[in-house]
Amino acid sequence: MEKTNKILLNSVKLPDNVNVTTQIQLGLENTNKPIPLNDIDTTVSQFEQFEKERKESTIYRFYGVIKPVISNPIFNENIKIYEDNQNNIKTKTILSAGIFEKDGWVGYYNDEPDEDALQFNDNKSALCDFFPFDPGYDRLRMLDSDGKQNYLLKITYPFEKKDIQIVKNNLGITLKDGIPIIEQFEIEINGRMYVGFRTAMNHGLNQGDKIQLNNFIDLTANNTLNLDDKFYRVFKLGNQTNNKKLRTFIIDIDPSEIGFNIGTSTVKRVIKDKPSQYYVRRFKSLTIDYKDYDLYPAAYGVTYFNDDVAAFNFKTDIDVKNLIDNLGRPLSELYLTIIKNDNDSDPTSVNSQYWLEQQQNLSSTINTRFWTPISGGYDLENDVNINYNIRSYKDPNYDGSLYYENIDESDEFFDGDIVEYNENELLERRLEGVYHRINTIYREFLNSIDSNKENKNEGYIYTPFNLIQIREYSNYINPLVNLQTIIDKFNITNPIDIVELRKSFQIPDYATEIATNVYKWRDLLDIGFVDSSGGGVDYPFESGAHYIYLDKRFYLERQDPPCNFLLISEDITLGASDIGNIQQDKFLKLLSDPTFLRYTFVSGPQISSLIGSSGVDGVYNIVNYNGVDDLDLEVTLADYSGEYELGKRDIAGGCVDFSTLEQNEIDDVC
Amino acid sequence: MFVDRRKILIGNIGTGTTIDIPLKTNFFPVDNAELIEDKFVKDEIEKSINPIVDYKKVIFKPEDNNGNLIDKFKINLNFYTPASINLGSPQHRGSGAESGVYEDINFTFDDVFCRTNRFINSFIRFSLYDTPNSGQNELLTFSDIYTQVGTEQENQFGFTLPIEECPITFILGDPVTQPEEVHEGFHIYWFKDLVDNAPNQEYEVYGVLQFNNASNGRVYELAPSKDFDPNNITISNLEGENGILYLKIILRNDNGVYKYRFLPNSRQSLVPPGVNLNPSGGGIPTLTFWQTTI
Repeated sequence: MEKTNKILLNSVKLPDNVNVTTQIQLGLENTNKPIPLNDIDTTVSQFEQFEKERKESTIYRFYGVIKPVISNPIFNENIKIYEDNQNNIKTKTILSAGIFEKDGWVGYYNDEPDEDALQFNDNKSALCDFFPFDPGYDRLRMLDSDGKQNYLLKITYPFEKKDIQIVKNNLGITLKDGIPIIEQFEIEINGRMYVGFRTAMNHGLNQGDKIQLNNFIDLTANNTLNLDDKFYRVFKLGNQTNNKKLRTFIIDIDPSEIGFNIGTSTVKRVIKDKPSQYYVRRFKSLTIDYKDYDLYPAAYGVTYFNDDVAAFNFKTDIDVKNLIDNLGRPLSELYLTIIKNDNDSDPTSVNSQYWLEQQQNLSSTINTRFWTPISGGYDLENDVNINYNIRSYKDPNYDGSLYYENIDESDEFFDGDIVEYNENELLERRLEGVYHRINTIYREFLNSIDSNKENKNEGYIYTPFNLIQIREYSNYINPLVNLQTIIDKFNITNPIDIVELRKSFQIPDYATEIATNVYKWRDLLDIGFVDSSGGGVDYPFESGAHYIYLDKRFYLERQDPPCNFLLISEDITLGASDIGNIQQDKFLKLLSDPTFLRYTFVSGPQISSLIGSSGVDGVYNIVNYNGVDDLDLEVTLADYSGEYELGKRDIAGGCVDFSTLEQNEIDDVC
Repeated sequence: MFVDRRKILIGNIGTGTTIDIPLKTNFFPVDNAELIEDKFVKDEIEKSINPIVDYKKVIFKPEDNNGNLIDKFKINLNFYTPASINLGSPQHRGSGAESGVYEDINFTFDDVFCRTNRFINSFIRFSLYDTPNSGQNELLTFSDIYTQVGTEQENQFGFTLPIEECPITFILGDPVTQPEEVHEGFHIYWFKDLVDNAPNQEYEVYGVLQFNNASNGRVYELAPSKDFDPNNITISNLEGENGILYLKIILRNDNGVYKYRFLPNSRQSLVPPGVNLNPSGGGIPTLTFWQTTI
């Protein structure tokens, strides 16, 4: 808009009215008014807001239950420990006939109320109550009433990787070089010979997989196998009996044309010409101690085996913000970690005092402990060349083998599972889970405590790490993003510009750079998103945190359950010829051995001549037989054995077949 | 507003001159829509969304006066004896911090021995409030604890005691360390962040105990103090920080361990005290409540 003003310099046009310098003030005023807007209606989506908050949150809260399967088939001694009227600690050996199993626990039914009334100070008869041998409920159950927790729960995550030597060798061949081969075998399929190999650990192979053979021996005249340059395919899994598929595989090579060296020959899975990587994941703890969670009985919680189900609730929130795993990716896995502790019982209790007294002459580093420090390893093949075979721990044939040692529940870092990772797959695959192993100090050093006894080296093992899948990766790999072509095209040299370019292509920090500025990766699926293959996670979001309910099992198992037994006999002669009651004492000792099965009279006429006797001298009380005539007995015991030489076994494994023995059903022990 | 000032020398322009003042004002219909949509609306949306409130609750375990966790405690109820009420001079049973007997509140031996409905459906309700003033306080939570026939109600042979000897007691224990005891009411469940963000990480609540008697339908108010005249009970006697009715309870975060402790006021601490968490001789910590109104 334009406006033209005429300005009369003076008020009238007269000669006197000469022009002088005049200042004219122009008052320019303008009034503005905002243009009125219509009403603005905005819809706030509760769902979108929920999704936004859910995606932004990195806080996790864990709660759930642990269903244990725990018992004490590996116990110190079959004795009853109690305190007499003078507060002296006393023991009484429970004879073999008095040893019972209840819900998997080995112990005795009390038959003398006074002792246990004193022990438990409850003024009640403890008659017919079942008491497990040590370690009993108070040291092994997930929940017990002594106020001392027996296990520590932690939340851990894989934060770095390490290399170990699975099979002993002097050439520095380790897990990073592939899965070690420990045996070669041949197999005939449809009239054609194939070669098979047994691995020390799970190989993770499938039929048809391409593999790289390292350090094998080409026995062909002109090296026609071309092992260094050629990949072979897995023809089949399994051995000659089609078993052991996780640890044997067959390839289409004539067995006479290939050989291997234990310790150095390894195999790697290959995907699109890229061999896999193999390594151990190490775990880091995000929680510290017992204050991080509450542990309490789950309502109506009893397992099929009558173990109490324990419920837990982590009071400490777990924040995974800025945490990355061993591959530098945002966390997709956490682990509920259960670790056995040593301070699991009241140290002033009669039982604790008794075992400490037994161990008092041992080294000061161990004589105040009940349990050995935790050792770690894997459930590997039984071969003396193998390290980290947890079931072989303390087998003298494995002397010099490596294990993870001196693990403690208070540790921040733990050695974990063995995994395979392939850059063309971008996923980790777990091959072997780690086991922890414990035994009691008393059992493991029994020979040092009592030179007449041999060490009992079989311990308990368990898997400490339980997976919590908090995120999942997509089931496809993103198409390659080649920034280098753009950089070259526009001649971008400034590193900041390159970073910005990377951001504009939404390349995540964890993307794998397969060549300079060429990336590939798998997307991390949003929480609540489930892809076409069913992948993805979905769990409640409340109070600004993700709530994940965990339903885990905890199995405390035997290190090497003995599945075989031999019957062994001892001849005993009681009577006048037993000077000094040596035979009688031996007989008593055999009767109190948990492996005692039966005794028989060697001679029928001998027993018939005594049948009329009675009382303490009679055959009716054979333990105290003091008759003049000799009485010959044959005592039969079972000698249980497992795969490993771990000393004396008191109780057979659940795998043993007793069908060859005569068995008695005992209905009512009280 | 920006003004373009110019000095005009009149001598240079002579007379009758028109001066063009180059003031062009082109008005564009610029409004605030962009700003409004970009900022105002977003801000208002943000304001309209409730902040995230943390509803996480944790378990609080009872502690004694020394800060040590206790794994069980006993609640004694002491009522006016029927005989004293008939005489017009209501008296509690005994003179110390002891429990009454079930005879005092209309139960028979058969009720206890046979666990009749009217016995097993009777209960105490322990209610927690935010302040000790009934006119303005809010109920936070409550626990119902039903009558028990435990070792205290039985002789050494396991038989129920005669009704005139059968004490009105409730033993509450930790579910882990005292699996045989009743656990309802032993723990207090409360919001973790309220305690964590409270001064000194200590959060105060006030407990009131009522007995709901299923045999006569009456609700009895009980107080952890005998310091009152049954014939002259006033609100000021009952309520407030120094009243006898409300028992202060401190919920606290003790370096990661969540605990609660009873904190009686001066009148509740008079002999016989209603709260005895560290009994001499190592007995079981005990709360004793006396009937107030008749």
